[in-house]
Amino acid sequence: MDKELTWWETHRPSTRKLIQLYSALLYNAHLKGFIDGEIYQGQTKAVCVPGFNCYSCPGAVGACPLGSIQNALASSGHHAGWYVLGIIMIFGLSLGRTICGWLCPLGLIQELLYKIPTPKIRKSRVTRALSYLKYVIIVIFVVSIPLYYGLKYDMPVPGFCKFICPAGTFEGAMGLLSNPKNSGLFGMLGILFTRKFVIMLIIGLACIFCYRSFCRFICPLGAIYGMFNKLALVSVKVDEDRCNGCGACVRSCKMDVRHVGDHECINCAKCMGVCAQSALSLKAGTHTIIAPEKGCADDTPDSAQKRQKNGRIGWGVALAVLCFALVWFNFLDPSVRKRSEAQAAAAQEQDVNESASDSAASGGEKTGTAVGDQFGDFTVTCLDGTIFHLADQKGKVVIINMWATYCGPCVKELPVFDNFYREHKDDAAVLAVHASEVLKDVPEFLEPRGLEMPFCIDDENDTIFNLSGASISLLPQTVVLDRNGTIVYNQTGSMTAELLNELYEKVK
Amino acid sequence: MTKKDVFLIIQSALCVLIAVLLSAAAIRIYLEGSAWQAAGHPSEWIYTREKAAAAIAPVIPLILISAAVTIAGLIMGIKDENKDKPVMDEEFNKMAAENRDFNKAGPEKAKKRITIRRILYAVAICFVVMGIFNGSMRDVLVKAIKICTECVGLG
Repeated sequence: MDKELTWWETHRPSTRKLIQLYSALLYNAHLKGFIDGEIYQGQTKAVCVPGFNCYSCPGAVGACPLGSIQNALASSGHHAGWYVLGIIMIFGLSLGRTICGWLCPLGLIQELLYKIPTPKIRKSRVTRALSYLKYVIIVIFVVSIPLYYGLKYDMPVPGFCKFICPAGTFEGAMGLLSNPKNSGLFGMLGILFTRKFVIMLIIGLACIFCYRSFCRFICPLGAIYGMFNKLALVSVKVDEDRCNGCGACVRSCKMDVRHVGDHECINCAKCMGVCAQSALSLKAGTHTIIAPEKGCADDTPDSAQKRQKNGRIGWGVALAVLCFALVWFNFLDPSVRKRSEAQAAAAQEQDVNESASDSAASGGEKTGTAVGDQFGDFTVTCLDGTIFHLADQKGKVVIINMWATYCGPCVKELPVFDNFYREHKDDAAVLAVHASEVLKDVPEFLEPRGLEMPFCIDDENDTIFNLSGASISLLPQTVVLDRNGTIVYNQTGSMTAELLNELYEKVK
Repeated sequence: MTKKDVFLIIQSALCVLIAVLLSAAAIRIYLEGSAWQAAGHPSEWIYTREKAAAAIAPVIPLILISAAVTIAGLIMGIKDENKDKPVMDEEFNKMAAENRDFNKAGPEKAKKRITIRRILYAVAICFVVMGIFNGSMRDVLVKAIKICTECVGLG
């Protein structure tokens, strides 16, 4: 008689779930970011992670391949995005859609949502037809929109990230907004956030009723990896000699697969459990990673033992890597240490300022980044060779706009500042400060736009960005100072002509 | 209708209700806030932490009930029994029949795939190296550390 299984034996997380959880944690190893409400700024962000993980998530330590490919397409007027293309090809050729099944944090979230006990929608002709929607999304949102805006207006617009991506809303927007330190970010929320929030809820709801709805119908990254599935090194392989063509694997699969290993197959290896012939195995080339119950046809007597031993070694190495990553990305990384030191220095400076203003019974003004504080003085050489010294602008309303050529909304709002500058040249000073990281020749970028206002590029120490408190690296940001140099407005997000005029009227 | 069906329907209704209430709250905040802005207050925020908290507060009990129902369902093993059953309609029967032929690689085909894979690996590595030198790697870094607010759905 078979031994009755305990609740834990039937419900314990599978190896695949543990690997999904592991990769989610590894991609988001900068846990300090969730506490500080700031994103990671280290060099590892130059490397794309294989799965879908938004790089604006406070924990993310790598770049999202889909966001990167859209930005690369948007920059294709300047140089080809060979790097992202190469990285995606390496991921696709090595793992194909095994990434979706084993290494994608969004896949894990979808599977957990599907565990909520509700009636489920099973695969059918309709879901199969819907599975082609992701190719339409690739063409429109991932390729056409970034290419159109990039080539025509030299403006990066990552269509999928901007209009659809639920990972961006959940990990990025919600991740940042949920931190009380980022209350100021609420000021920029509008129609875009509302639309994406509702889209995220709809996708989440769909995932509760229909297995991996986002993955099957929408995910462009899965569609890209799917194109490599037949060539991928790691995949579920069918032993032709054992397979009797019963089709149990295809019928029981929750994805819209037509055949094992086709472009819809995420190589989750669940089909191995339903194959009575033990014809399926997960292999990397000729090396078996997961063997069927009966073992593989080419197994030697000690193969099973070897696999078990290799598995244990693999987990040991993986845990060591995770521990190292957690320590490195939270404490040792130079960018994290630099920021901690800067925060400590800022806190110390604030204390000094506060005690100074306390001691000055007349209520002396302190330097800072909040409304009511004095903006720190700086001198910068503009692109036209003129010198901009903030202290010299006393008596004028000063507007400082932080922007970058690689930020779509920043480029879009430049004419708003320029029109304002032309109208109020005598009474107001406007300075557009480009971030210290430069990807395009800024004067060359500005030349066809015919803008009159002064532009400068922040120095490598990000002096002006730091003075404005642009600590979480979000663009654009605008600071408005009254005639005494006191901050009356300091906000991340897009600026409108109406708002700029209202602020001017307020301090005029 | 069995007790299990009632349980599943209640849970579905809770999930739909939560999503609808949250969507409605976001849309209401947006409509009220943008109307106020349009009425001559462009510097007023549409969303604030307080408005968001007030809108979410009535939904929290529903979320907690739904979570409790989910946990109870998982412990009691209540689920849609059909979800793990194989699909038996005609189209999938046909696909299943073709499955074996599709995966029949044969030594020739398998060798061809390995060759193509090796060539593509070489091309991909060349692309990465070219990308490091033409600045597209730096593009990835800069765009991942200086985030455009529109791109993450903020505004």
